[in-house]
Order: sequence, then C-alpha cells, then structure tokens
Amino acid sequence: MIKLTKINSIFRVKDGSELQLVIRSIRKSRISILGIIIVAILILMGLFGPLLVSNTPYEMDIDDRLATPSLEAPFGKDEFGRDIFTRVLYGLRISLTVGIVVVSISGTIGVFLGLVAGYYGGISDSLIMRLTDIILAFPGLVLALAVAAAIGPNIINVMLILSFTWWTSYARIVRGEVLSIREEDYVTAAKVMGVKDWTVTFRHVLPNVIGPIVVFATLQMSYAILAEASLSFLGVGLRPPEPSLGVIINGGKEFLRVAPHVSALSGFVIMLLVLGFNLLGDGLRDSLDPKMRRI
Amino acid sequence: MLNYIIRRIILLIPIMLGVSLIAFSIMHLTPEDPIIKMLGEGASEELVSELRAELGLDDPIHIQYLAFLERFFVKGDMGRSILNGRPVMSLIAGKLPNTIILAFTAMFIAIIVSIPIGVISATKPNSLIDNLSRIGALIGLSLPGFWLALVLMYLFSVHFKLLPPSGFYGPEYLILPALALSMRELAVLTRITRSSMLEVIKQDYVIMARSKGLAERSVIYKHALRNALIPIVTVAGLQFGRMLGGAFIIETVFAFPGIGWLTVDAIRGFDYPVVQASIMVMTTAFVLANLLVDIIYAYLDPKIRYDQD
Repeated sequence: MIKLTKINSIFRVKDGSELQLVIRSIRKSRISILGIIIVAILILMGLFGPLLVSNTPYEMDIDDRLATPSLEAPFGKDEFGRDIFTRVLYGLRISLTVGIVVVSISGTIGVFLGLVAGYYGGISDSLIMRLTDIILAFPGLVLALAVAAAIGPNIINVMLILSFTWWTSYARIVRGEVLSIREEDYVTAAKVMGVKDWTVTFRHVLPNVIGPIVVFATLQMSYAILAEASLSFLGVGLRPPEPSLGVIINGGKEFLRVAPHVSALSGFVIMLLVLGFNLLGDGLRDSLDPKMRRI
Repeated sequence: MLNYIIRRIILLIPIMLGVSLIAFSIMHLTPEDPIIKMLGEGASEELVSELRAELGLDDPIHIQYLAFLERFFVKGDMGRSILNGRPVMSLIAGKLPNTIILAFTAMFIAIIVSIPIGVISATKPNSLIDNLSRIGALIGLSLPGFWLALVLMYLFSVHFKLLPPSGFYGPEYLILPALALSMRELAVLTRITRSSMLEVIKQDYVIMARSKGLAERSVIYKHALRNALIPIVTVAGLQFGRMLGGAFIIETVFAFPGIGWLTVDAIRGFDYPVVQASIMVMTTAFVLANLLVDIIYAYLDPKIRYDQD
C-alpha cells in the first residue's frame, strides 16, 4: 500500500506539470494575454453591466425609435426604442452562458467517450468513432438548424443541440492522445502494478491530455457563441424580444438603410468576444503544442 | 490504391445510413403532429388524412424509414413541397447550381488572396506584414458571417450604391455574397499556407536550391510553394464541401436563391419533405467531397494508404 502511494505521488508530478504548463504558457504568450483582457472585460460587462444600467432590455420608448448613439444610450435605440447597449449587456450573458454550458456538456461527453474509445479500443472504439463520423458528415450548422426547427426554438434546446452535436471533436482529440499515451512506460507501469483501468485512465491518462482539451475548449467557446448568434439571427435560436446578440442584429437588418448602428455595434461586440476567445486559444495552442500550430 | 478507395467507399455506408436516420427522424422529433405543423391549425380533416397517406405516416415507423431510403437512394423522388406543391428534387436541382457557383466564386477569392499573403507571411516571419496578416486572419475567423454580410451590404449597396443588395440575376450579384462567404475560408487558408510554407522552407531541398544560387523568387514559388500546396489543397477541398452546406446564412441575408436559403425557408415553413431532402443532398455532397479529398491526398502521399491498413 505504501509502495502504491509512493508510485502515485511520482505520477502526480506529471499531473501537476501539465496543468502548470497551461498556466505558464498563458503568462508567456502576449496573444493569450490580449485575449484574456478582451474576454475579461466582456465577461465583467455581462456579469455586472445589467446591474448598473437603469433600464431593462425590454423597456420601449416609441418616441425614441431608432435613435442614434448618444451619451444616454451609447449604442442608440432599436426599432421599438429599446436601449441597444442594455440589450447587448444582457446579450453577452446569453452568449457566455451558451458558450460555457455547451463547452461543459460537450467536453464532458467527448472526453469520456474519447477516453473509452482510446483506452479500451475494440468494439467500443469502432462504435464511438462511427458515431462521430455520422455527426461530422453534417456540414456546419445544418444539423443544429434542422433539429432546432423541429424541437422548437429556445435557449435550452439550442444549448442541448450544440452540446450533443459538438462532442465529436473532443472525442477525436482525446482518443488520438490516449492511443499514444497508452503505450508510455508510466501507464504500463501502473497497469503492471495492478492499478484498476479506471484509475489509470483518470489519474494517469486524463491529466496528460488536458493541454489539447483546454485549447479546443477555448476555441469552442467562440464557435458556440457564433452558432447561437447565427441560429438566433435566422429565427431558430432565441426568439424576439429576447436580447440575444443574433436577435438584435436581425432586428436591425430591416432598418439597415436608416439606422445601420443597430446591427453594426452589436455585431462588433460579438466579433470582439469571439476574437478574444480565438486569441486566447491560439496563443495557448502555439505555446502548448507546436504540433497543432498548422491549423 | 484501389483497395484504399474501396475501403473508404464501404465506410460511407454506415455514415449515410446514420445521416439518413437523423434526416428521417426530424419530422418525428416535433412534439406536435407534423401534419398540423405543415398545413396549419385550420386545415380540413380531409386534407390532413390525404397528406398523411401521401407521406406514408400511417405505416409503422421502420417501414416509413425503409421507404424514405428507397425514395432517396433508389427512386430519387422525395415527394412534393408542402408550401408550393412542386416536386422536391426539381426544386433542389434548380437551386443547387447557384450554390455551387457561389461556393466556387468564394473559394476562388479565398485562394487568390490567401496564398500570396500566407507565402509573404512565411518568408518574413514576425515582420510587420506577417503580424498584420496573422491578426487579420484571426479577425477574419472571428467575424460573424451574417454580420459581415450586413456590413458589406450596407457599404456597397446602400452607401456607395455600387452593387445590388440581393437576388441573383447576373454576375455582379455574386460579388457581395461570395466576399462574405469567403472571409472565413480566406482566414483559414492564410494560416494553413503560412504554417505549411514555414515547414517546407526549412527542408533540405529548399536550402539546396538556395545554395545553388537560384533566385529567391524561384526558390519560393517553384520549389517551396509547390510542396507546401498539398495540405493547402486538402483544406481547400474540405472547405468547398463545407460551403455547399454552410452557405445558408449568407444566402438568406442576400436572398440568394441557393440550396441554403431554400432549406432555411423550408425549416421556417415546416416544409418537412424539402428539409429532409435538402439535408440529404447537402450531407451527401459534403461526404463525397471529403471522400474525393481523401483519395487525392492518399494518391499524393502514399504513407496515408499504408497507415490505415
């Protein structure tokens, strides 16, 4: 028993090093830091902004329809005289919630299935990989769009659909990593020691695939935010009057000629948010894994 | 090589079965009666039972699925559109060429812009041009397509009145949607070109070409780029397949009569026969494009063929 703890503590050095590597590489990369700053500002705006503004995202003011940006309403007003800045603040909450929920659910499913496929191989591997092949055969948002239309447009459905269609990349990444790690000496050693399969997988294999997972999760935040905005823009995600950024931009589309600020400013905020996560993910990837630099 | 191709084609069977099962299920995922959704609340009972019989919804579910497979893969007849009564396959056949033209134009723009930028970036790493193009590519990746489409439409149709805002009645109608559609692919291809070139430039034969005293231009474009092109072409091929199914946002914004807009319209109108058929067509096109890219790649790089044995 004492021996086992000793061996485990040796392995744990390895656990720590991968996580520390993530943190260290964030500090090193200027691109990551810029990404963190952008993301942090927008998260703070989404968290506390709604508490600081005096109006709600639904409050209309018919006299002030399509008002241009001013000190009172920095992003102007929309076709119902609602304050666009307030709506964008609430929209950031929606975007970030969708991002976090989708990344957590799809990450959990994908990592679990990837570990199973890579570690156990055989039939479970074939089944899981064929399932990812099927889901990846749908280009872009086609699958999400169709299912959203069938089961009804609301935020819960959007998050569930994206989560259940996007775990595939995690599964592939983790499976690939596990296949190479499986043959490493420290895993063989753990197996020979009689450590149970699940313990080996979670204690010794999982910590070593954390790097690529973190990189992909960061990039996936940006995909999820764009996907929710796109679905809402098309009318199959969140519906008006919800203050989703996609809904706000779609509302402004009809008034492009007379009030371009409605769509322009809210779209710029999505771009910044997505850019923040992309910068962070990119910087992380460059410093963590030189192999993945190619894409 | 033939073995590899046959194996890849056999692998398509379970994928297409899975895809068709999902496309088939879409009508049955709806919590309400799909017939009522399609015809509206006020539809007469006669009409409802007529449509139910036409779509075969009274049959057991597995019979319905087999019939669905037969209709798509054997007969090529996916019934009639609920919205306008026209045969679904001819509706799609009318729109698909437009989407293909749009995707080709977008791909063309992406390739002619991204490759030179990527090459310059790679030959002068960490220079001002390199940094600008890398940041530009990241911004390109972060732009929401529908927003970029609206910005382009505002600038070039509303403000400067240079290009038509929507529809498809001539080549000038292609420019804005193709630009909007190409942005993401342009960004991706620039990044691929840069990293692929960076790798190739370090290779011995490039150093050799240089030390023989060849002009830098000829070294870069004749020796390095030609070899760097393999991953670039692969990614471009995959993106083209993706664009056939991924153009629906851009098509909807510009009211461009392609398969994407057709699908979005059908989804909004609960026109399930059209939704199912266009999903099948888009995924089939995407899967075939992937297959083609894999075969070309395996042909260019024999290692792939043996790795999968």
